[in-house]
Amino acid sequence: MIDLEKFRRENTSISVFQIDSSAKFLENSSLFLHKFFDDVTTSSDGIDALEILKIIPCDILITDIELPNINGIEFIQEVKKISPKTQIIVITMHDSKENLLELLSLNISKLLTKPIHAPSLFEALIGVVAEINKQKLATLSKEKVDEGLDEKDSIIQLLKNLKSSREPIQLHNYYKGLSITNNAYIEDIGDNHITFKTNNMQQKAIQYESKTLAVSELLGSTLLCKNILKLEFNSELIEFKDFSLQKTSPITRKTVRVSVNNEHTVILSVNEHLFQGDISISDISVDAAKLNLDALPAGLHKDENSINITIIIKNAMELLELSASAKYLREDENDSSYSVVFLLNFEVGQRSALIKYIAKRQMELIREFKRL
Amino acid sequence: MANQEKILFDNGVHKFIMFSFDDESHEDSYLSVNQYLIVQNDTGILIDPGSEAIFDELSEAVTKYVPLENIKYIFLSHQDPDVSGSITQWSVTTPAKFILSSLWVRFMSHYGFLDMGRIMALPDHGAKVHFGGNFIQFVPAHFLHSPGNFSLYDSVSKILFSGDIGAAIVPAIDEYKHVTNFEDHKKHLEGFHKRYMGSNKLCRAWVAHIEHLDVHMIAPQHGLLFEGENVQLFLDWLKELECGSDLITELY
Repeated sequence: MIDLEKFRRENTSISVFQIDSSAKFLENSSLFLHKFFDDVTTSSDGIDALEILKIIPCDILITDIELPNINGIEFIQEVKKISPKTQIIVITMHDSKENLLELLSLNISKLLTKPIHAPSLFEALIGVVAEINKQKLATLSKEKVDEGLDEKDSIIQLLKNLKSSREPIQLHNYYKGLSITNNAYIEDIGDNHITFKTNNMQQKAIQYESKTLAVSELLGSTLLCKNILKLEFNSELIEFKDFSLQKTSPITRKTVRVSVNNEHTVILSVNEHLFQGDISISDISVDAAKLNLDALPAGLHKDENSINITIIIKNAMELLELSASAKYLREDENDSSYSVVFLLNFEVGQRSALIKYIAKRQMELIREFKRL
Repeated sequence: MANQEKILFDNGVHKFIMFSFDDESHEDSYLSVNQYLIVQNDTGILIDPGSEAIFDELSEAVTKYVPLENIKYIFLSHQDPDVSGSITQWSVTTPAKFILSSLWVRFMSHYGFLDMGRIMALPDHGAKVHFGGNFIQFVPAHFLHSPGNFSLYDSVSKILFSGDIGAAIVPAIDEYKHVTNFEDHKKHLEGFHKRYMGSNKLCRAWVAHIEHLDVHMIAPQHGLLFEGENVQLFLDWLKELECGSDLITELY
């Protein structure tokens, strides 16, 4: 149930322009629109309306498709040129397929058929107002991120806007390489805490990692949340003490990666020199593997080098042996080891065996995670 | 089988391709299975990719038209294993988002999936995705047969992927899989539709939706394609079909 007073309070600055050839319809409709918006303009002529729009753009345009002096489709095409961000609600008497397809190609926001009843117009207005607010928030978010990621006040303001928009945010966590993602909503935000409402599965994943990455189109960048203050499974709430924006995003990860079971062996050779140090797999996908090495092999970074990787994984029933030519991608230095990502190029049959392994391992990890 | 793929539409930038990889473990049931791929420029939408058993063959066939990393969406009309059984394999090999009824999202972990960021859950009334001046529409087809079920309409090719609606119990054939004589074909439709479709009221609701679209071809998940006048003949037949709960006395 929508709170009408709140809707008016929050959206009173939105400007509305209505065009219709019937003066009586405009009068009635204008009275209705004034209940929610302060800035309501009307016109009974399409050509005049275009001239007005050039001087005073509007947020929402409501127009009849049958206009004197100009074809409705042409009129909307002109409006799109003059004011591309304007949300357009089209009212039509006819429901012809030709008109409908042409209107759809113009990307109008809503299409209403006469006679118009107040609830259907109001429902259309709610939809377009939500879209306008979303666009405004995205612009604001971008400005804040461009100003600098370290400004705590800006971040809090941004998150407050996100909270009031009631737009979902996605929480990302990993369990042994497996991606666990669910929607969440910001329940509360203050100087030293942020509370999300999500579901039990995500709470469990957060509990396992003691942190989460929150992503939203409207945020523009990723919010790292850590130091759990409160985790309640019954209310599905989770509260963090620390949160900060960071530029890397978990959604750049495109395919499934999994950790492998402990019983595995990796043989790495660079320019036919066998790497003699300790080596293990951190995680693997069909195209890449992240390996943990206690030292970096000589010649690893050279473009012209030839790298070969053989992986032997012992499963419950079988021994999986896969060999691939590889390409160095990047490395991270840890306390006493290195994590190096290699792009792998398997032959078709081997790739197929790896897909089967990853699919099976994914199920194994899900079962393991559910038992946590 | 020789004719396992057929380009149904191609205007240079937009293709609609049908594959017919049958899950051999179900061959005795004569329920031939079709999978479809839409390619727009260099991105793909895969439709009802089927069971794990056909994953290797289908993925190899798909790469002839679009690299696996360019498959943006995988549409699953409903939750059956011959539709969704290979979710895990496709999630491992493509970056695609899976589009399916919101009703089935909670079951995704049983298919090896906990990443809801890769799921686009369709609300009951469906959705429309615009690209340029064109669109893909997900049309509600609930209880025909699954309780959370959608058809897919492509406004460029004007092909309607109808899922199980229009399915026919026919043996896998090597020729172009299309209906040549609707009257003859009815006997292959009747048994399946009477048992699997929810009711005549539901059939009529779906047909009413479809009749608002400009449909040149109906492409079901099983059986043969309906083209030209056979589109309307099939819709008219479905409108009058007594099925599911209409025939409850035969079941109890």
